[in-house]
Amino acid sequence: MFSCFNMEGKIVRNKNLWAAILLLPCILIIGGTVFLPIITTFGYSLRDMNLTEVTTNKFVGFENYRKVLTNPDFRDALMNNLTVLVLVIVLGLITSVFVGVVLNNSSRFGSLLTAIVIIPWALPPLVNGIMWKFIFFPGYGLLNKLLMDAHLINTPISWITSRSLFLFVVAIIIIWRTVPFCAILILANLKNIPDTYAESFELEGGSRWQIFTKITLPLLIPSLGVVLINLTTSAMNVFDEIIALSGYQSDNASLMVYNYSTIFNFLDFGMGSATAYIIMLLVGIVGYFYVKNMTKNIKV
Amino acid sequence: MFKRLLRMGLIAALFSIVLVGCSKNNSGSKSYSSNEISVMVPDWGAPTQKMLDQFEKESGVKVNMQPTAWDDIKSKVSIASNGKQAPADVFEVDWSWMGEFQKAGWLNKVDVSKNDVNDIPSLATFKAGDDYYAVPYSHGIRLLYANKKMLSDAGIDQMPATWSDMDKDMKELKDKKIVKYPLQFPLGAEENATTTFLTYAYMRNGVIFNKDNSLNKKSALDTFKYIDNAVKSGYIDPNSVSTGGMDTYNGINSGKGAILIGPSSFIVSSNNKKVSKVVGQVEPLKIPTNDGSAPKSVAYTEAVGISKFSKNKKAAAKFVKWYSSQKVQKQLYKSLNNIPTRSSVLQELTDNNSIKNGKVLVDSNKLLTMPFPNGIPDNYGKLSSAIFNTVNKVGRQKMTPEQATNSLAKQIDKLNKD
Repeated sequence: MFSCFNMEGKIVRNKNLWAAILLLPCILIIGGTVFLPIITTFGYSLRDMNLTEVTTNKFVGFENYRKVLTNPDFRDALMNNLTVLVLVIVLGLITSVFVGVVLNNSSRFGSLLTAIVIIPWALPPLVNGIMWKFIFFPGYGLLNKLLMDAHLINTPISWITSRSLFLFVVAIIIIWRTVPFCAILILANLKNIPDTYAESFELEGGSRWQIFTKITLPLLIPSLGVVLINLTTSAMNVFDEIIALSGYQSDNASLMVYNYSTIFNFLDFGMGSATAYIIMLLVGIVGYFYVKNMTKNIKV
Repeated sequence: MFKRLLRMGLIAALFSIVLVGCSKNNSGSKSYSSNEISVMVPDWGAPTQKMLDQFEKESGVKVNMQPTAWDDIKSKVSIASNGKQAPADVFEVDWSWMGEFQKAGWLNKVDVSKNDVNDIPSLATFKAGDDYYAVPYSHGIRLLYANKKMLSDAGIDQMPATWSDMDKDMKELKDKKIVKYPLQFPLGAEENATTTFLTYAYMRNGVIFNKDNSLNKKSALDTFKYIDNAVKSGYIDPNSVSTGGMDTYNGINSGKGAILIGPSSFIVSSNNKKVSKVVGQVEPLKIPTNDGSAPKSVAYTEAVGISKFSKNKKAAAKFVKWYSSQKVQKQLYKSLNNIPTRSSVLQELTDNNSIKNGKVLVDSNKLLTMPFPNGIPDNYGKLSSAIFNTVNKVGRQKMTPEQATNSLAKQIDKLNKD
């Protein structure tokens, strides 16, 4: 049925048509669940649309975007996200490489350590948040207790009441949750680097540090690209940890918390959709440069 | 051939899934027969199956309970009602949602008798114009709780009756090191900080919002000063800024604090061995007054209303009437510890000692007033967020009382303008 005749009169399948038919269900599903909501959300973002104010639902153009961008709470949330993003990328990247190298070198307990390391990655973010809240609880959290027992501090530190410390704690939690997966990626990459490279470099008089910086690190670049994307998306999408640690406190909100609050607490779908589009645009710009850079590396 | 058929079958199955997914659902909730209704309330408001069976026997109406997390009910109601569907025939109407739900036209009027109006003073919260839109089932009267053992250890025999008494008692408790932080006051950025702020401001000054819905700056400044002073004097645990409101309230039951102005449920829980370490020590009292001022009380009550889009409104009305009846309120208290909203039931449970120290509840129920001069505002969600974030900033010493007052007044003016 999906076939045609060639020059010799033989029946051959029309491969393009067949492929299109096979792809159609997938296109419909993705179109219906991804692209349709994206288009619908854009439509909402141009309307004054609060669910509890049914009478005010009207087209307002880009007014919602203006309101969001001039809202101090949005700017606070953006700054919080950027701070967390920088901390997560810098500390997360260093930790991921370190853990990956340690796992690669610990041949005796390698499998056991890998299994242990992966546990935080498997925990739901909200559970992570609650667990770390007990650790960093301002009064008598575990960390304060340990520091006081060790006589390093006299009075408990308010880890999550100060905004800067709070963002640092959030970054630590994200790193703790994300590093296992990143480290496994790096470990897989390290396993594929032949030992002969290092051995020949060593014969030429290269030190271990030189082997790492001149041989290992450049060969890790493809997986570091994926690790960067993973760390960036985790930092930009941070939500559960912030809710578990400080609820809907406007000073500490991330972009996701701000957006969730606008849509589901205030039921303001117009403003919430505009916020969602602004976030999508910001993440899209970062994502574009990452992907472009990765593609460039692959070509080289 | 078989493989081709298999492929075609798989494609057909995928198409079917897509088509089913895109099909129009005729109802937001299940469509029941005229004698069958759905009820969406939090699990703490769900009657036992035995009670529902009895109701079905008496009325012929079958009830399908949908116990739902309180936080989820508002969004479920909003989304379904926007699509002109009933999220459930009967659903929870928290006092704070009343303004939004009523203005949006999602609530059907409920018939209440004159006797109901007299017996349930908190019905006034759910009144708009001349009509009522929900019937309260679980009371949230604010009371003062004082740990009389701790007060006695500090050499105080008289329970606090005025705000100045309360201040003196907190100082004594602190100075004599009976308890590290005497006052349990939620400062976390969530709803309980808002209701506590409203309660303190209203009960201390008799007003919190002006007639044009703007903030009464004098009252707000007084309350922010009170909070600021209590934090600086060490009466309130500064870590309350990062704790959930219920956790802070529970400090009265764990013996962490000696004084609390909180929900009426603590009249029961403070004497429950399973959740209280201070059984028999906590005395419920009326909220203090200013010296010489007339006593009054406030309540943040939960109610049930009927969806405007319900197809079984008659059966739903029967349920609401049954659910708020004296008999059922007594049963709900026995099975779920729900504090009744009817004065007559509170009186009876107090008289037969089912509620220990219940007289204060009976008395406070007669003195109910609301802090909102024009009813619950339809932008309460945003208003509450502005209040709890400002309270939180004062608690964290990031704002002075004056800055907090000006900032909150500005935010409320903007909300009113929008």
